[in-house]
Amino acid sequence: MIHSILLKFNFTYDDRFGVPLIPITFFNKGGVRTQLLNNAILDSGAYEITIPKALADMLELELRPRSNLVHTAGGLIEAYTATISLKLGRGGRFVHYAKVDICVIKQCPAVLIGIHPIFEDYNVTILAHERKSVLDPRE
Amino acid sequence: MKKIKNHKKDDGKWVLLTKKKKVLYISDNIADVFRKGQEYPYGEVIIEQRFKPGTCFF
Repeated sequence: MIHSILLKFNFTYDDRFGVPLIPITFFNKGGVRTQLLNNAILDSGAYEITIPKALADMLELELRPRSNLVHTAGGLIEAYTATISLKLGRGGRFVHYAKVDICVIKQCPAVLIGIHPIFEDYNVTILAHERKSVLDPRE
Repeated sequence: MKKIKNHKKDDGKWVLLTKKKKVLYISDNIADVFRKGQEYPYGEVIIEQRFKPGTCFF
């Protein structure tokens, strides 16, 4: 996995949503970017970026079955590993990540941004009372 | 009095929006919304998931 220069981000999210949200853009297998997903969930409870299988199929990602089931609150389920490129940010301020291994789950209810790689690269502060997330590049 | 839009019926759905947040397309299937988004020039539309406060994903 490689990434461009890490930028500091302050992401605010709407009162309608009770969880921290961040903007992400994915690239398909051919390198074509998707439109911006404005509200991926910043989730420290997930180890990896996790996306629904339907999206992975649409992006034509190569899925590699995992030898072990993964633990979710809904129980043990089958999962796949895929490699994807993505951009974090919006409005002309982006950090590009290439070849990130992610988790793909058929029953995934949202796009989850987990520990690897965002929480590993950033000190993340969630200011829930301000509906704001601060991502500060780790030194 | 400010009218509050009820998004309950859209809970969990994926939507394709203009930058002014006008809904262009809505679906339960995330892939359909991403696919529809590719019909527009990059940056003209955005994708969001609708969910109500307190939704627990895990």
